[in-house]
Amino acid sequence: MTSENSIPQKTIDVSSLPSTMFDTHAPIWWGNTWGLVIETVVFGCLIAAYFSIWTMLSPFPPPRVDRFPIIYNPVPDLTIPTINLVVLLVSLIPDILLDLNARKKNEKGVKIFLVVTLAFNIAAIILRFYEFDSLHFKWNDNAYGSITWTILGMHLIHLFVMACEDIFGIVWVFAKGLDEKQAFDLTVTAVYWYWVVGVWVLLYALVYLGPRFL
Amino acid sequence: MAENEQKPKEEKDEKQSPILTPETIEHERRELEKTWFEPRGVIGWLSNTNHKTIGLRIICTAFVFFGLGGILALLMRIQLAFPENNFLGPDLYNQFFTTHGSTMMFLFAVPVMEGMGIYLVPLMVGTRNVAFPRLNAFGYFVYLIGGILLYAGLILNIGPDTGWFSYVPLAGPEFSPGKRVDVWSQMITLTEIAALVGAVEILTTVFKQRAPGMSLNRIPLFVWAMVVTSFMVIFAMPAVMTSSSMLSMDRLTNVSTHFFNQAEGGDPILYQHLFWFFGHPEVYIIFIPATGFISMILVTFTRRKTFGYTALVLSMIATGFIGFGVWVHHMFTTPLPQLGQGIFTAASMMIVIPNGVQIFCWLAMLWSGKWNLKTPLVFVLGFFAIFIIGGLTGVMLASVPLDLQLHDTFFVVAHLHYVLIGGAVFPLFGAIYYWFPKWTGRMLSEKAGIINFWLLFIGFNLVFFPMHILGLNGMTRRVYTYIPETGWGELNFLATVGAFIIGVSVLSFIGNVLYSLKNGLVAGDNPWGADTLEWATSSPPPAYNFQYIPIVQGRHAIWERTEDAPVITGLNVKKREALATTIHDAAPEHKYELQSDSIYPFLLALATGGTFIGVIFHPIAIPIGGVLSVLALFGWFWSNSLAHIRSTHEEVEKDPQNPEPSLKPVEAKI
Repeated sequence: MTSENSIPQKTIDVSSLPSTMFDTHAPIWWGNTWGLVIETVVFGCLIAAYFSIWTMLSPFPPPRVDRFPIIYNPVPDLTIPTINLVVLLVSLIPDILLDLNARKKNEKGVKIFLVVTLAFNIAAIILRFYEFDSLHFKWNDNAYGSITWTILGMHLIHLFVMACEDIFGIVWVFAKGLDEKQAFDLTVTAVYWYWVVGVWVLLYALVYLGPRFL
Repeated sequence: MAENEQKPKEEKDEKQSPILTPETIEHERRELEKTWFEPRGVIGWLSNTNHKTIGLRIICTAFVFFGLGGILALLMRIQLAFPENNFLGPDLYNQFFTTHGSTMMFLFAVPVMEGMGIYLVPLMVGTRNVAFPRLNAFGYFVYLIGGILLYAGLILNIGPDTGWFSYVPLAGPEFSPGKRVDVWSQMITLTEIAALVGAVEILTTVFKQRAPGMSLNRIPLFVWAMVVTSFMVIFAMPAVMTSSSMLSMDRLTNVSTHFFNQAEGGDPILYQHLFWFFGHPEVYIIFIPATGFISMILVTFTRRKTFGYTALVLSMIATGFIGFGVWVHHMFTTPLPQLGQGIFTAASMMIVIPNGVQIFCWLAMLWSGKWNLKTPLVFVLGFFAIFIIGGLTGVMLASVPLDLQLHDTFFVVAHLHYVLIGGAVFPLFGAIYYWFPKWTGRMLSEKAGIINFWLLFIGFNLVFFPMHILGLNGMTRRVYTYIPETGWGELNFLATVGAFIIGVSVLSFIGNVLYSLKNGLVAGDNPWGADTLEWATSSPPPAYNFQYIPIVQGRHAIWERTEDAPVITGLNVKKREALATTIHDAAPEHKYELQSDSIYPFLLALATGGTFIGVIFHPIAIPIGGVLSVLALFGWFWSNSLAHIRSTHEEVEKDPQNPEPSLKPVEAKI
């Protein structure tokens, strides 16, 4: 083996193996996936907290009577949240294209779709700030306000993180070109965005449709 | 696996790989030394990303906190030695027991187990470093900052005083004004980040970087233990991070959310659920690595192959799963539906089954092996005695009527110390005696080891056995004194005497370590005649662990190695390259360049730590800390990407014939 005093008699040469492989072959893909599992558990805890608070409040959400306009059944508005949901879902298209172009090492395509993805991302961040108004409560009004703001806020953090990753990708690719490692990293970042959008479908249903239809 | 063993030979025939000459070996060794050189100086110390250095740092830091937590315990025992004692006032006593419990759980037990994993797992699976070396360094610094925060709080009289689980409403803004609980909750968040980082490291390293031939059914049991533990960390720790963050938000004057404020629709019991959804798996997060130590120590010191490998692995996995289904047994005194009580009682009793399977497998190894009765084995024998008593009182406490009677009494204190000290600290001491030669190249003294063991064993039972009786007699936890008429004085005095014997035992251990570092017997590569790969390299191992990645031919890699076992060549010695292998069979798949040393993990830890500490005082810390963290991350990734293209360019320049790396799956080639 590696014992200093004995010389190995047989060897297996691995020098011809590739230095990058995509998806589940790559350690970084796994690292990213564990991170996403952790974040999913965080959202799971927040969902549990949401239902726990639901059992404490009747009616749910509680009527807003401490300021005008008084709202007796303050279920969240759907307009802006739904627009944002659509923005996020449509953003999957440039993101998938970014993923595919990175795999083909098509630098031009990568540049285009990095910028387009970032544009969608920024749009979603701006809309998210307006979404908070749709809840009709502030975070410190009551426990319902606290948990809904926290769910929206946690997801907003992911939107910010993703924007930072996109900006990093753009700066790197425009400055240094698309190398093999960067191309691979972009495919992992794409997985992160798939998760960010996917988890939002569930959270949207919970926060916006839940109080209305459940 | 027979296929795998054949494959390397075929390839060798095809390629006619040259047999290594002493000159090539020496040349490559020198190159590896250069490539893996560990940076020196202060900046170097802060930039180092070698898993062995980081692992030892975590272990040493955890033992420092173990010592501090132990001193607090001694002070508490002095206070309780006599009825109506005034050695510590009630306020200091509250701070001490909270800090003691928080230290032992968050700053000692979890980190020390992860530190062992971070040091040993890459060696045991036969790779050069953990999968994400920079993240690893970041984890250590965040943990250190969290620990310093707790003790800075204690020194500045803002030590937390609401118990290691800080229940609301006591820990809420109404009943605990001031910053004490905030210190606690931010310490929790920081140390949990570190634990999560460690879990990601270990899982990825085990999944993707095992030496060729180490299929899933050949992974050493300690590595399996760390895999199960890491899964549990990933699913449990986010819950306590959520609860501690919610608690912080409820408390901060500029935020003032109402998660646990019943008047505004919050739910105090939610806090308990979130905390114990983490808190009970936490016990197994501490205990399962210890079962890994035991399995490894027993193989070496009974000189036989593992008895019931598959049963042991499945037991650990089953414990991992059931461990998530028992948390409500900590909450039997809260309003629960009877069905809920029944389910959680049943689950709590059920967890005895996989643990029982493990114990019987180990007993079978003891029964049928040839004992080599050295200190590590002695500690494992001590484990059996103490842990089984703790396990039995655990089954008792799983019963609701008894639990209602004993909840929050010293009976529970006795139980949890029997389980945690018996189940984790005894095997941990055994593990330190076992692996110390690997870490330092020198053996710990056997004589001092036996003294250490007996003092610990006797002292431990003197402290904690009487607590069973005290608890049954009604003595409650977390109360700083009692009146003479209770008749608890004698047993408490006995417990205090025992605590000091434990103190002497720990001192003898520290003395042994300090003495043996310089004067211990020189260990050699494999002083115990052990079976796993960490013993196949020098003691202490070189920075790159193995000059040539070994091929694994059986569960007991060293014992089952044949004379003509091949080794892996062809990894680039001029960059920090590791071999990525397939998840199931560990067949070679691709080469993987590990990250280089960097100061950015330290800077990111400062930014993260600063954010969490700053937010205790004002929420403005979040945007400021966020921006600083993003800057640190940019530096981290930019420098990493730069290093990567540089090393790739060098490689291409050196070898212009090098073909474009193909992305075909490698199985086709071998």
